[in-house]
Amino acid sequence: MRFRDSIITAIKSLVANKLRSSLTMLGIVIGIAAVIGLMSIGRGVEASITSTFEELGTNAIYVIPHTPGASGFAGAGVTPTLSVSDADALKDSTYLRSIVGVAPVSTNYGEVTSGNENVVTAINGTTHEYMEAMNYSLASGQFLSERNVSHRDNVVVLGDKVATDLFDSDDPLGQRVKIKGRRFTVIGVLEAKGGAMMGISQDEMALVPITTYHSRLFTQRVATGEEAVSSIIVQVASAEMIDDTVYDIEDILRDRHRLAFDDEDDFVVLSQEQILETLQQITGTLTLFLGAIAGISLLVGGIGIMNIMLVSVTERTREIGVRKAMGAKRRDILRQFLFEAAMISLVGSGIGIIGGWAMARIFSGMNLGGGAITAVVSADIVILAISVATLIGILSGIYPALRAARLNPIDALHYG
Amino acid sequence: MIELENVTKVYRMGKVEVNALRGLTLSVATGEMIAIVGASGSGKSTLLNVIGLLDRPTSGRYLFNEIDVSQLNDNQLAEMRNKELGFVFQDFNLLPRATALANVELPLIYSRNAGNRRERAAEALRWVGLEQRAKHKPTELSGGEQQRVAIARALVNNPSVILADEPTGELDTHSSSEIMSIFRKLHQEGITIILITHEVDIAAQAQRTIHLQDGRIIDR
Repeated sequence: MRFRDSIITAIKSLVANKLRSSLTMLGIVIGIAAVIGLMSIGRGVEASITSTFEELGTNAIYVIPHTPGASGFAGAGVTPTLSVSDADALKDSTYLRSIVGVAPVSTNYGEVTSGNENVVTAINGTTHEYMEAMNYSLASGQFLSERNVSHRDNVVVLGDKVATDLFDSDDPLGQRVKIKGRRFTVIGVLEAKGGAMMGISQDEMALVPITTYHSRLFTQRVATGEEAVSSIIVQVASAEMIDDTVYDIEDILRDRHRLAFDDEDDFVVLSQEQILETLQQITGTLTLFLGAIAGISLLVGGIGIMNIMLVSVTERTREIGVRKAMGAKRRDILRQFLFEAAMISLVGSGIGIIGGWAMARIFSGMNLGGGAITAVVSADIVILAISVATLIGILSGIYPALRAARLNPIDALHYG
Repeated sequence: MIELENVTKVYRMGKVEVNALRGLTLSVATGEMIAIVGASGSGKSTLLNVIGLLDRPTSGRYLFNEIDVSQLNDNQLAEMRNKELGFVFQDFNLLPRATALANVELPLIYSRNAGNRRERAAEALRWVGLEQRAKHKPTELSGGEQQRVAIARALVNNPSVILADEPTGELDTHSSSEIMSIFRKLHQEGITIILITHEVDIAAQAQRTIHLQDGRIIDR
């Protein structure tokens, strides 16, 4: 039997049972659409996180407190261990010439009020080096100066979103705002960054001099009595120096915190790259997980095909007998039923790809947790989905097809 | 053409052994038209299945065209059925969803000699007088017409032998005589015809009648 005849025979019998064929196909359509749609969304989230991070300079190192014995990154309940003088020590240390800037940051949430408007936002106490380390630029006015810090001035630089929320389209420069009952003068507004880092917009914050922050807004101290910081951002001259600098920072801080040589660090030093890697690992796992769930529905679709093919073989026992009497060989019958199964899953995955693509389009531009995601349907996902579907089609078709091929022609002719 | 020598066939039905053929010797010459008659359970259908290469004898020798078919594997048997044999069944066994023409074409899609399928199938349909019914499905045809489609299917690949199992069993007298005249016409063309029947007047139209009883040929 020629290949073309096998395909035509398969198509004819699928068309003869339109409703049944399309319902069987639906299982594969849903499975493929789910795999492609969900994995594309996962990829989209991954891409948006990566690009957010790349917008922060890549030469930054973060130092954050860490409670020995606790797992993971710093959470809300971490004991403060880093102080302003730790940051000063890093800045002053003579042999760390790779460091070009050190910005201590103390963070808390609070209300910023202007007239009747008020916004709850992150309030960061920091120094003039923050803007460069975090790769921000100014939309208007000026940033915190060294003088502001040393004089404990009541001045504030607003993130783009906070500025719009409070002042709408008015010029915020020179305006007074109230934070924790104290008056601050707005001296600058940051350019919008747009992205969100783990659901927190980078444009929702108010920056004040760290000295002012500690003396007038929030006071938190480390065990030695010094003023605590939430993190220290260190800017390194070039990317190649990052690894060495991480070790040096660890040395200096261990020494300053008087840790014995077998004590665990009470801080974590993270390069931008490490954070990115970790996040990509998390989102990669998320993508795989979504794919696996979708894969289960694909498997169920395959079982559906097998089920229908088994019914179809039983129903067409007589037809198989007639074909065998007319000279059909085992392989002809095998091929006929295998092609039917393959056809269902092939056409099903074709429609499924369109469905998955549509799903990705719908989710693209949706705002999930801060930033808009862009779902990316990439070739490798499509190829993966099609190969899995074809494999499932063949695997679920092979057993019914073998059953059909092995039928004894006499029994088949007298069946029913 | 067909030489059966001391052929037996034993079926196993669960734990019971059924001796369907008990040492049967028969020879059919090329171009002969014979009828096999006998009560139900006498082994008629088993004999036809063995002759039709759908089943293998348990013991004994079967030469088809001087070839010992016990030496052939399943694929070779399938090829031989396709090339040398045509089957006509009591209940027609047409594919219900295919047109008359597509049904007649069926043996050709399994044939090595598969050129001009359409034309050859149409020619076979014309030969049984159904060229105007080519596009009709079996459900749109009368019993006699369905059986004529089945005969066209049996002869489309120019077989040397046509085997018919009660071909008129489900037909009225008029259709029966129509079908039988087609068989006589095939016989005149030189095709060997073996038909099973239990109707005396059908058997009378054959050159020779074989009586079967309990798996053996008996003399009458």
